[in-house]
Formats: sequence, structure tokens, C-alpha cells
Amino acid sequence: MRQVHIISIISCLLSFCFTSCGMESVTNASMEDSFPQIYPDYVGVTIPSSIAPLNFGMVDGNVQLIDVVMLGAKGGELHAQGSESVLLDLDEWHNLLKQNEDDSLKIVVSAKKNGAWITYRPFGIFVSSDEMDYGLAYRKLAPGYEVYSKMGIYQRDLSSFEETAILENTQFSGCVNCHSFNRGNPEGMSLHVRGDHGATLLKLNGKLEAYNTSTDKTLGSCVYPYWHPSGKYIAYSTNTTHQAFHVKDENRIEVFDLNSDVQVYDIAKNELIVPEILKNDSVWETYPVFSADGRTLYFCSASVKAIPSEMNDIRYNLCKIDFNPDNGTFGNRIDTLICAETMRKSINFPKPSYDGKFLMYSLADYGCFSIWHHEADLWLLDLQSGEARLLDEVNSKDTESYHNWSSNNRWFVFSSRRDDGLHTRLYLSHMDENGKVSKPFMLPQENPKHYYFNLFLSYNVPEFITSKVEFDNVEAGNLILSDKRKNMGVRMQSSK
Amino acid sequence: MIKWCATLLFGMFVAYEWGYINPHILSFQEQYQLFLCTSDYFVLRMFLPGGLADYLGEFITQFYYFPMLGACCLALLLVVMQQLAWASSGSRSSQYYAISFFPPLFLLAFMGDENLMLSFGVAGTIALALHVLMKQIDRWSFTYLLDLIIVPVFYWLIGPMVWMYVLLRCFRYTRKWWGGIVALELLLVQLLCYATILQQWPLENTFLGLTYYRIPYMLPQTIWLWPLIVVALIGLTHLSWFQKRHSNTMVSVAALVVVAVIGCFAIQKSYDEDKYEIIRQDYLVRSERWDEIISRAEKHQVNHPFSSQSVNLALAMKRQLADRMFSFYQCGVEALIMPMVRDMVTDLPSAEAFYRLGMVNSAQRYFSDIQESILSYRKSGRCTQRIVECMIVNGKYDLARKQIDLLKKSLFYSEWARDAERYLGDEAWIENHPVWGKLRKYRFNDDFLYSYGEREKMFGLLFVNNSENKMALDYLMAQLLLNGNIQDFMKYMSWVQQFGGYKSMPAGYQDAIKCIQNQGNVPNSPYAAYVQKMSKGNNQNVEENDTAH
Repeated sequence: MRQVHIISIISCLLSFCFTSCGMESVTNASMEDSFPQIYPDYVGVTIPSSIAPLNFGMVDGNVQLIDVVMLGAKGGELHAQGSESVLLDLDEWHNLLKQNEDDSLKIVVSAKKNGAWITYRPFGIFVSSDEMDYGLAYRKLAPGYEVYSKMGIYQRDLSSFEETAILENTQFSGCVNCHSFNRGNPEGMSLHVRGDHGATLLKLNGKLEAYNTSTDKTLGSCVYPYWHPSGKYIAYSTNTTHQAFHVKDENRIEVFDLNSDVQVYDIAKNELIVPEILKNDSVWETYPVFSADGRTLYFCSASVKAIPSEMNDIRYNLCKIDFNPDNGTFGNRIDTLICAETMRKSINFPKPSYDGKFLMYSLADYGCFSIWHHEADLWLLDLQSGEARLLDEVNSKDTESYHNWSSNNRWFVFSSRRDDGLHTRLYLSHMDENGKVSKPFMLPQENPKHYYFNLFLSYNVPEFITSKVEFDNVEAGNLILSDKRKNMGVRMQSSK
Repeated sequence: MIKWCATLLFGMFVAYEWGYINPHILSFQEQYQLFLCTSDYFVLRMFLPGGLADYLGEFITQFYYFPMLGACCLALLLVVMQQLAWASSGSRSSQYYAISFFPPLFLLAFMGDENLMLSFGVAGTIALALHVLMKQIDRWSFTYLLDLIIVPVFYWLIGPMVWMYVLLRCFRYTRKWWGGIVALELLLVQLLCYATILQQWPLENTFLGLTYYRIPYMLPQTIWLWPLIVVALIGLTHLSWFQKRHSNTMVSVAALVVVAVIGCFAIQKSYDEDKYEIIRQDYLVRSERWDEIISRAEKHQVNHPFSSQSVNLALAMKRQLADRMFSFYQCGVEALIMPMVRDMVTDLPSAEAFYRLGMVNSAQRYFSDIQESILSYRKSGRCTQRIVECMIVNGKYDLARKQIDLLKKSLFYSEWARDAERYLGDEAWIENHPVWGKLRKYRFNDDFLYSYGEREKMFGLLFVNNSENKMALDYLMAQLLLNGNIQDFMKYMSWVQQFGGYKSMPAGYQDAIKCIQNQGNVPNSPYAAYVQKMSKGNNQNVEENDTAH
């Protein structure tokens, strides 16, 4: 938010006053053979040269002063000090990174504790020349249960710390969710508003319209949008979603569907294409996504179970069906790509890379909402070989769930609860053309230790954006409050 | 002398009435905020127009934690407001001193709407203070021009209440058109703010305030009515008739009496008796004054589910639920625990009951959702405290520490937070804690999904897990009686006899059994009356449904 940004500026000014008075020299330091325990953990990560400064603090709260020297393998040096966090100069940082693309930075950290300096074993940060998109769009809200307070969808410039609101729920009583862009292009955007003024907002060619996506021939409103690469279609699922609460302290919340189908919205014809083959009462289908060439629709599918007695047996498999974008028709056969049921696991949030090589998904013990499952991990499916592997490089003991690819497929963002077990934070990771994945790094903040520790909100649904989202909040607010909604037609497609 | 006596009396009246007689009013306000003594908190408040008034309002409200202290702060604020209203007045005749009591008295009356924030009164006081200050330097010619700077700055500091200042200044301008220019400037500033910084807020809030009312999109008329009344009253004193000096002590005293009567009448009328009885019950639950809840309910009980929950909780805490439950108002099957309602009040007794029963996850859920229901987007010190306790009982120490660090930044929760912090990770110490240790033993042994419709089963399971959990047994039997589930009630009577710890069969159960045996035909039976009321209600519902079909 803008407020936080200004607080950061004030912190920067204070830091400037501090540093301008001269940095304290590291003298008589004892050498420590281990890497420094820093927060966020940036030891050995791979970053793009455009990323905002990786400011950090020491995990140990008793450190009085941190001294950081960053040495570029190809040249350049950066020296900074800070008490709670080291605040690096934005321009100097970017120059250093640009100078050292495809090479490493050597980071020497010294910490002053009880009046004495300790210098830790230096660690490296690799600077990749693979570009990262302009920014991220995500929702921030308190990780509550049934009630939501202030929330919003925000965009963050990844080369700086600037965060601005796209839409907050301060203009109306309701919640905002499920924002989606076509491969990160902010020109096309789908966004849901729930509550008294519920609507699906679609921004197409700069024009914003509010839709009523609920029809008498479908289950209900459209959710979980995914754009067709041509921009002519949006895949949605329609779900009768409920939530229940655990009485013991393992997983807090269980989100489940009592019914769900998959459908595709034909933008030009303003019609929802509902294939009968995907409207099966004995099967729940959800999380539809198009393949990179737009000729396949992937989705998750589970056999209907009794709730709550068979809750722990709900397992979603990864399936696919052909889709013809020329006429908006579906194939007649559903293929199961991964039968998670046989592994006694459940697949959620499939996301194919835009080059058609990989598909990333979240795997939990059961259910359709891995976000609240502490055991949930990220997996990567090689679409050419059909082999899937656990992404050990990025997973933690806690939840890894929602994820997304950058437009050039070299970076992905995912949400994780590893920080404290509840509040979801965003992590970014690099993947090279061979599928080699690097250690992830936490979304940088100006003063990360202060920021994350005082942030009682979770990030969710992170999406890369290739440029800043231009969004008229006033128009959107008026549109939402006006309750004028455009209805969608329905085109049923027989499976014969 | 009379003036000072009147002011002193007024201050004492506020301190006594709000601090001693009605402390619940202040406690209610305090529990829906968590004022932090940090620079971040101040800076965050200052990002919206009215930020300073909001900050100061919350600063004062934090003292409501101790109602007497809070009432003294409130009294001081209102006395200052009264003095400023007097200083703003156009007449110096002591006969019109009484008029200066109207702004604080009407404010007190309007504060009967529990969602009106103290920032509203603070903003009004600052606007009056600014007016008085500018009045002092009016003799300098540049003060007119100074308004062009002051008004936008104070719009940011105190919000749209600065309109009151602009209107009051109009009485001072010799060139009346200057008032129009200042007003136009303010209007343009507000529109500019809306178009740039306040795009995420409705236009109405830009003009009527973002921080004066707890529900931003439901602003009441009070928001503009009070400043208009103040301007009208002060404007009245600028009329030539009021400029004449009178010095009749009797008339002054009479005027003060008339104003006091009008003020008291307005205050009495604006504080809804039933609503504030519920707020008082909540205060008593918070303070664990169970006997007082019961004794007040014996005299008068509001027919509201909140009241049923509070009284039942109090009865359970005093182990009188089995004996006397049906002697009090029971709203129906929801009289013990309410389903989650999206407001910040209704579920408080349910959340407290969950906590005491050992349903720690449910307590945490209810307290979290209650906090999220605060429409001014504030945190609640009371809820955060309970959430921390639930996290400690569940062994979620990292999360508890995060919340504790927040509480440590407050003035009145910090000591408790520091004490709680010492328990983090110390299992043996937690086991020995009189409440947390007990709740750890009371918790469910196995996980399952919470089911509101099967409350009695959950209470039963709690008791089966730990037969020392007598409250769970009392709630189980009470829920069965509320549901009219006689079969299970009779079935579990053996548990009551074996584990209930009662010397003799509780009177309430005897009555219920008598009702069952006589098929409800028991004169003066509280349970029979409840059953009749419920079946009458059900029949009415069935008839209404039939008619609808």
C-alpha cells in the first residue's frame, strides 16, 4: 500500500541520516564458519537483474548493527549498514546487478553483537540475465475464517518497493478475488466481487464491464478464471463452495465443493460454452487452464464423495480435454494425465508454462483447496516426458500452494506459509530451460523484517503482470455499486 | 463563579455517569480498537483526512480500558469543548453561558449511537479551538489570507469537520464574500483528494468523513447535524440581541438548569435501554462478573439471543445452569451458542463460552471473525488477547508471539502480553497455568469437522474426553433440553448423577423430568413454558409456510 511505501521512505531517510554520519568500521571481527542467519533467507538464491534490493536483517534480534559488503564477480561493490535491516541504495543495487548479469555477487555479512563484531562465511547470490516481468498482482487480506475486513487487490513493481491498490473493498461491502490476466498482460483482466454487489468485472480493450455470470443452466457464478492465449475465451469453473472448520489444531479450515463444473466463456459471443461431458453429476471438475497452444483444457477432477464423512477421500486427478479455439468446441474424450487418487493425493491449481513444456501443480493429501493444507507441496510435470517430480528446491515443511509463471517461463511465484505457519508470503524462483529450479527468495521489502513481522495479512493469488495495471477505481466502484450487470448466454455442447 | 461551578459540575457528571454508573459504554468502545504507541501507527493514521482527530480519538479511547480513568478523559475533552464553545460565542453575557453546554451535551447524546467514534468529538473540539485561536489574532489583517492555508491543512488533520470552522469564521469576516472563497477552496481540496488519494473510498466519505463513524458506507445524519447545531448556536450569540450585557444571576442559573434538563432528556432518549443493557451484559462477561449478570437478569432481561447466551454462560460459570436455566429468557435452540453472525457483538458470549468449554479452535475462530467484523478495520485488544490465549493453548508459539508483540506496543495490554510471553514454549508452565493448563486437558483428543447443528454431540464428546469438564456436561444437557430431545436427555441423566457433582438432582432437571412425565402439563413449570413457547413458535412458522405455499 502507498502508506507502507511512505513509511519505508521515512525509514530510508532515517537510514540515510545514519549512514551519512559515516559507517562504523568492522574491526577485530571474529570469523564464523557458518552462513549468516538472515531474514529473509537470501543465501544462495538466484535473482533477476531488475529485482528490487534484497534488503535483509539478522534473525537474531540482539544484533546491534549489520554490515554488508556486496562484491560483484564482474566488478562493482556495494557497502551498507543498518540496525534492524540493511537498506541498500536502489540505483547502486541495480547498477551492481546489471554489471554482474549471469554471474554472482559475493555477500560478506558482519554483525555487531554485545559490542563485538562477527564476520560470517560469505555467501553468493546469482544474477540471472533472464528477465522478470514488471510486477505482481495479488490480493492481501487477513487469514480469517468466514468474515473479511478490509482487503484489496494490489500491484507491486518488482524493481522497486512501490505497491498500489487496484481495487479495495472500502467502496462497497463485499470481497474482491480471483483476478486474472492473459499471460500477465494487464489489458485483459477478469476480477470477481462477492457480496451484496457481486459481479465479475471484465476489462477488455480498456473497457470495463460488470457481468452476472450466474445463469439458470449453470451451477452458479464463474470462478477461477484462466485466459485462452488468443484472448478470445476465458475458462472458468462454477463451484458450490463451502467451508468447514477443524476442531483440533492441525489444519484450520477445509474448503470444499458440493458441486462443480468447468465451462468456457466466449467473449465475442458473450456465451458460456458448457460441454455436457464436463457437466457430470458424479464428478467434480474444477481449476480449468488452457495449454500453451490453446488446444487443450487441463482441469482437476474428482469422484463425488459424501461430505463430511468421506472428506478425507476426496482426491482430484489432473485431466485434459481437447479444445478447438476456432469454433469453441470440446473433444469427446477426457484423458487423465496424473491419477493422484492412486497415490492417495489430490492435485490442485494446475498451471502450464506458456512454452508448453511444464505444468506446475500443488499436491495435498486430499481436497480441492491445498491453501489450508500444511502438507501441500509444489510438483512439476514435464509435459513432454510425462514425468512429474516434487519440487524439493522450493518446498518447505509448511504449505506451498498457489503459483504462477512469468510471461517468459523463467520465473515462477508461489505462496507459502513457511514464515510462521499462517500468514502466506510470496516467493519467487528461477527455472532454466532444462527445468532446473533455484532456491526461492521471498518478495523483497524495503525493511523486510519490520514489514513482514508487522503484517497480519496474507498474500494470495499472485499473478505476474507485464506492465502496470491501469484501472479506474472510481469507475469500478460506481459500476459495482450500480448493480447493472450484463448477463451471459449459455451454449450447451452435446458430447456426441 | 457560577460559570466555573457549572463547568465543574458538568465534568463531574460525565465522569460519574460514564465512569461509575455506565462503565460498559466506554468498555464497549475500547474493545474495538487496539491503540499502539508506535510511530508506524501514527503515520498510518495520518494517511487519511481526519487522521490526527482519529489518532487522538483512539488515544483517549485507550484509557477507557479503566472506565473511571477513561470517563475523566472524556469529561476533560467535553469540558474543553464547552469552554471553547463559550470562547467562540459572540456574547460575553453570563446569561448565555448555558448555551455553551449544548455542543458537548448534544455530542454525548449523539454518542448514544455506539458507532459514532470519539474522533468526531475530537475533530469538533479542534475546529472550535482553531476558531478561538484565529479569533484572538483577528486584529491582524493577514489572518483572512491565513485561512487559505489553514483550511486545507486542517482538512487533512481533522477531516470535514473543518467545515464547521469555515462556517464559524463567516461570522467574523467583515467582507462576507471571503467566506465563500474559503468554502470554495475547501470544496476543491476535497474533490482533489477524492480524485487522487481517496479513489478507493466513496465520495460521501470524502465530504462527510472517513474516520468519524465505524461503518464508513452508512454515515448517519448526525455527522452533519451536530456541526450545524454548533454553528447555529454560536451564530445565535452573534445576533445583536445577544450582544447586550445582562447580569441577572437568577436568569443565568435558570438558563443552566433548562440546558441541563434538555441535555439530560436528549441523552436519556438517545441511549436505547435494551441495546445498552446488552452492552452492559457484554461488559460483565468481559469482567467475569457472573453474579451481577444473573442478578440483573433476575430484574430485567432483554429478549435477545445475546442475553440468553450471556445469562446461560454466567449460570454455567456459577454451576446454576442445570437449576435455573429456564427461569430466564431462552431464545430457542441457539440460546447457548449462536451460529457465526457477521457483526462485532452478537457472537461474543458464544466465543467466550467456547473458550471456557475447551473448544479452543472454535473460540479462536469466533474471536478472529468478530475482530474482522469491526467495520472501521481496527483490531480489538480484547479479541487479540483471547486469540493469543487460544494459540498458546494450541502450542502455536510463533503465531502467539506475533500477536503478543502487537499487544506489547499498547499501553494497557502490554503487561499482560509480557507475562504471556514468558509462557511461550514452556510446556510445563502452561500445564500448570490455572486456565490454559485446564483448557489443554479439556480440548478434543481427535480431530473432526465442527458442526453447528450437532452442538450437543460436541459438548458430549468434550465431556467424554474429560469428565472434569462439568461445563461441557451442563451445556450438553442444556442443549438437549433446548432442542426438546427428551430421549437423549433421559439417556444422559446417568452421567449427571455419576459425574455432575450435584448433591441432589438439579431443580431444572427435576422440572424437565416432571414435564416429560406429565406431557407438559405442569403448572408454573419454567421448562413447560419454554416448550409451549417454542411449539407455538413452530406452529406459527408452519402456518406461515403453509400460507406462503
